[in-house]
Amino acid sequence: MTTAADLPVLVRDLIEQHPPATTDRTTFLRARYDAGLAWVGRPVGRGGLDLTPADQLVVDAMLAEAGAPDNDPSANAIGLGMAAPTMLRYGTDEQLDRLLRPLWTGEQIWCQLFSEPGAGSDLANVSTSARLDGDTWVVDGQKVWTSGAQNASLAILVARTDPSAFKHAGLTYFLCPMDDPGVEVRPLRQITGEAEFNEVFLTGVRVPEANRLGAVGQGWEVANATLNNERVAIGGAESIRESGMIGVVAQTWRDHPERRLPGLHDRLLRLWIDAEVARLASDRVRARPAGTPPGPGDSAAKVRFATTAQELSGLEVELLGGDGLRYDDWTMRRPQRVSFTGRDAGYRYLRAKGNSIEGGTTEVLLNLIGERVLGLPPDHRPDKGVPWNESPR
Amino acid sequence: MTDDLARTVRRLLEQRLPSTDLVRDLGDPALQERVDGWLARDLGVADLLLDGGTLADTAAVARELGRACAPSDFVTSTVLAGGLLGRLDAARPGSVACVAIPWDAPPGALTTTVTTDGRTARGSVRNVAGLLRADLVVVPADHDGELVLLAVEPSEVRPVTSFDQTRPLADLILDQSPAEVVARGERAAEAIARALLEARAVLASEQVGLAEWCLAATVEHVSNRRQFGRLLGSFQALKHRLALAWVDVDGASAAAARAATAADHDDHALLVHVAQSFCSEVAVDVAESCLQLHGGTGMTWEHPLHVYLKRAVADRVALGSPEQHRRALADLVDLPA
Repeated sequence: MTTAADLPVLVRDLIEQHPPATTDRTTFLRARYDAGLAWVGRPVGRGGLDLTPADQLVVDAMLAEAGAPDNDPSANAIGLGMAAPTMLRYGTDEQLDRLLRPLWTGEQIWCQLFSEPGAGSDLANVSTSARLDGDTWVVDGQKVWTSGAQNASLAILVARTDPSAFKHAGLTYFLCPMDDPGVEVRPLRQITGEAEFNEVFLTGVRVPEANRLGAVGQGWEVANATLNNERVAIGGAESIRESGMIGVVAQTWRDHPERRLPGLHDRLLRLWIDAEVARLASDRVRARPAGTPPGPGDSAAKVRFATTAQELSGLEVELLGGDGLRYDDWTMRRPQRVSFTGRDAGYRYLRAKGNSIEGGTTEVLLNLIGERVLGLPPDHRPDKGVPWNESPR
Repeated sequence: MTDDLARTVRRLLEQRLPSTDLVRDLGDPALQERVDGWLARDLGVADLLLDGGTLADTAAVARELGRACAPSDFVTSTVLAGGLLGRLDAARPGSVACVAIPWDAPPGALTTTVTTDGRTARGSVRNVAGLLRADLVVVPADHDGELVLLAVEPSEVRPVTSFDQTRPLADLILDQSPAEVVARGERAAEAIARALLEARAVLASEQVGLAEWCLAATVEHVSNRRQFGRLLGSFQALKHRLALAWVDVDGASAAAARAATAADHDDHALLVHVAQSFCSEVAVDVAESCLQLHGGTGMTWEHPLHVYLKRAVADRVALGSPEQHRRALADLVDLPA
């Protein structure tokens, strides 16, 4: 069995057999995946070595030092953070053999077809339908808030396969090709001026039966695995002190001694501590044994992250005074990747407002923590135990 | 190891210190004698640091003492005095030791108004925790401009009516009191700085224990009490407040655990300031929220919640207030005022 102590040798072998300077990027990344060094916390044969996610830091540092290309993870955040862990849990060997390596290398970019105009926080209310026609599912409906749909070749999709079943029981999870002629992607401009996300119209889209993930009717369970991973992906990513929003705002403080005031100082220190506590709590999550699936308790990371990012970015705009009144550019653009901290203070402030909405609103996460972690009694729900097509909507 | 110890302490305290006893015997010195007797004789942790225990072990015990809100000299004697005297090879196992500093001593260089000629000491220290039962009292003093640590025989120990009756304070009066120098100069300053840092780390775990109990008690309350024909906990306003409290307690426990396991790291002081600022505020916030969610019941003397609230409030300023810890942190992370 491979241990963390073997990693330096394995990395050196990879670099020797595929010298980064003379190896094509995709070839190198494929070789890295095959050597189990893509994500060492994942299973052997699936790009990993059954170690812990924390062990990856050693590998990444060594490869960076050797000048090796990385897989540009921010360009495929949904693939890596959400589609992959869900497929690893529910996928067939055939699906994993076919889809996981190109996902990790970035040859195939993924997006997420979950939310709909009528199904936001109440995600289980999706009305996009999928009907089986021979060995192909035919999908019709409208999805929204789909980041990066214009770049994606595949999507994770939740659709209703049985409208007469109870709301949560009638759903099925699919891996949907985005190059189908029935997929229409329209940019949706947001408060930053950018169109990071899209509306996606699905008209007679054909999804092969081989691309169904999990059983028919199991979609809600599979989707929850994705959502739990999404919360960790959004909220649990910072492993280095002062990375992310706190790093940016702390630097602004250091660069502007003339703007410092006692009240702002204590606010900043509190937020520095909040960010550090969030990092320490995420370290604890990362140190769990390999294969521990994220649970509702991990939503805490996302709640902390969103709150801290919003307060920090608000503080930065206030700290900057007149400079905070200038915005770099309102021109509509479609970014290739999502950045929470990119561009200027005004952008950061506006973009951070989405952090408590995307991937489950803070309010929904607090419901989850209240009911699934603390075991508090459920709220009154008139749609519970009613067939979906008869429920109040 | 640490987890086993925590379980053992927790089980013993659950069995022997029901919260009805905590309220009934509140302020009675016999209650603390009982608790510290269990720690010394049944659990064998009264000299934990001297017996090879780690800082994390003491933090685990303190968390359980916090969860039970048990009156005890564990933090002041076992952790603070034990850590100091052990470092100076001056420990006296089996004794109840006390480092006589104001319980609200802020982080940073220690100041003292006690003076000494090397054989006797003069002066007073206000608000000393762990002094009432101490048989070994160590006090920082000024000897012609040099810091010395003295073992003293107090002229008087004046009990204080304390806001937190589970950690009663006293004023120490020294008037030509016989004194013996334990350490002086750099060595004394460094030893007491390290011991205080460790005591602050352990105090954070006590605060986590307090908050965990308050949260659990409140979850139980709102899961059983009905109003408007519904269980209170099904109302989103209450559910969200408790969920936020859980997020804070989870973060506090991560911060306290890190502070208690980083004793040999370069950034130990930083991690302790983080834990102290965060855990101090979480313990008070959670206790206050829980008081509110208990309604009128929480205002009664009979319900133990007030004992926890008072301890949390006292702990908040103990060994430095949250803002004092943030000031100290600012210097370490290059965020100047």
